[in-house]
Amino acid sequence: MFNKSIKPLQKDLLKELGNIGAGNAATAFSTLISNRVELNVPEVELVGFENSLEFVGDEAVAAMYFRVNGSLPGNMLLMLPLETVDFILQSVGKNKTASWDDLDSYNQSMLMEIGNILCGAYISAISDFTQKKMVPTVPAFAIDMAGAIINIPLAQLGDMSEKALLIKTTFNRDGKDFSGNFLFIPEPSALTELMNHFGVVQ
Amino acid sequence: MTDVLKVGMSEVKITSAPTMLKTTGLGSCIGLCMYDEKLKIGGMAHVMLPSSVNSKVSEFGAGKYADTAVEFLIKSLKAKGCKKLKAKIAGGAQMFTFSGGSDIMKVGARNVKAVKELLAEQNINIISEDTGGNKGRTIVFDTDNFHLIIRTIGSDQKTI
Repeated sequence: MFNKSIKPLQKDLLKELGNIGAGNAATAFSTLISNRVELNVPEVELVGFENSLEFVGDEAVAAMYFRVNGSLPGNMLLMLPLETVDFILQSVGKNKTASWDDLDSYNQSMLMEIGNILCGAYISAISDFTQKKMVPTVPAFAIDMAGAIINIPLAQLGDMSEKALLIKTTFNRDGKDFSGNFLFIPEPSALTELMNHFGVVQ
Repeated sequence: MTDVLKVGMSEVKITSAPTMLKTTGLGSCIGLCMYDEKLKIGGMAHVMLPSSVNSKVSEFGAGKYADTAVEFLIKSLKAKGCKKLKAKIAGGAQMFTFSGGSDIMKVGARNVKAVKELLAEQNINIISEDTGGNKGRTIVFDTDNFHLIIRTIGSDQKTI
């Protein structure tokens, strides 16, 4: 189970992990869409379940969800606002009229593959940095309210903890038409493993 | 202006008319409303998981599990003098389409089953429900007329 709070040093380390993971993913993303993707400073919060939905908001998003197994187990979500989905479909898929509300199996596969590449980049960067094995599962896909989507990773944590450790890194392109976030939700055992590895007193 | 009481994930709240109860972001979770029509007192739980049996933590919100939520709602409502309890439920969606079929993906269906069984054991009638499917819901329960208003993305609001 998570302690009551996380110490500043622990928070810094977790922010750095968010940076490393999302940084690698953003580089991959920039290449895919031929546009510069900028990262914001990661937010790290240990929140009670009762407040967790506020952390992600009520917005409709397209989400790709991965379970991460290995020494640093947890859950990974890539959440994209629907305008961003349209932008990706139109710029990567080259179909100028493609839209999230008319998603055929080809476009859905393309989105999932992009999610796979980005989350793979995120996870592998953290895995390389920590020298810990992390194995993501195949992605699951949904378009819905962010709060409802996060039910699944939180339910997965439910029996282990009363709180969720959320590492959120948002990104955007220069304009406002493109944004999204990576949300990594490590399990309590992953936090212990990490802090032990880096010699951070808990 | 009527007050709206927000019910967070794993919480239970009890109130009386005209205050409304609201919970957002019900995916696989269940919004369980229990009420007494005569006294116009009602409660809502935002249930995450079917059973507290496997919990590795000893302190948790009463609404977190179906079993603890049903027990807490009955106890709290009876303590306020409620006698004939009725229920309305919403939620329990399968949020992700996933061919692998890990257990956690089906938690919505397991939540629905658990809540229904527990209510049946306590002889509490489910007056109406909107469960399953694959869409997240936001719900508002009106303790004055016992309407449960349900919003989903991409379809019209409905009242059950």
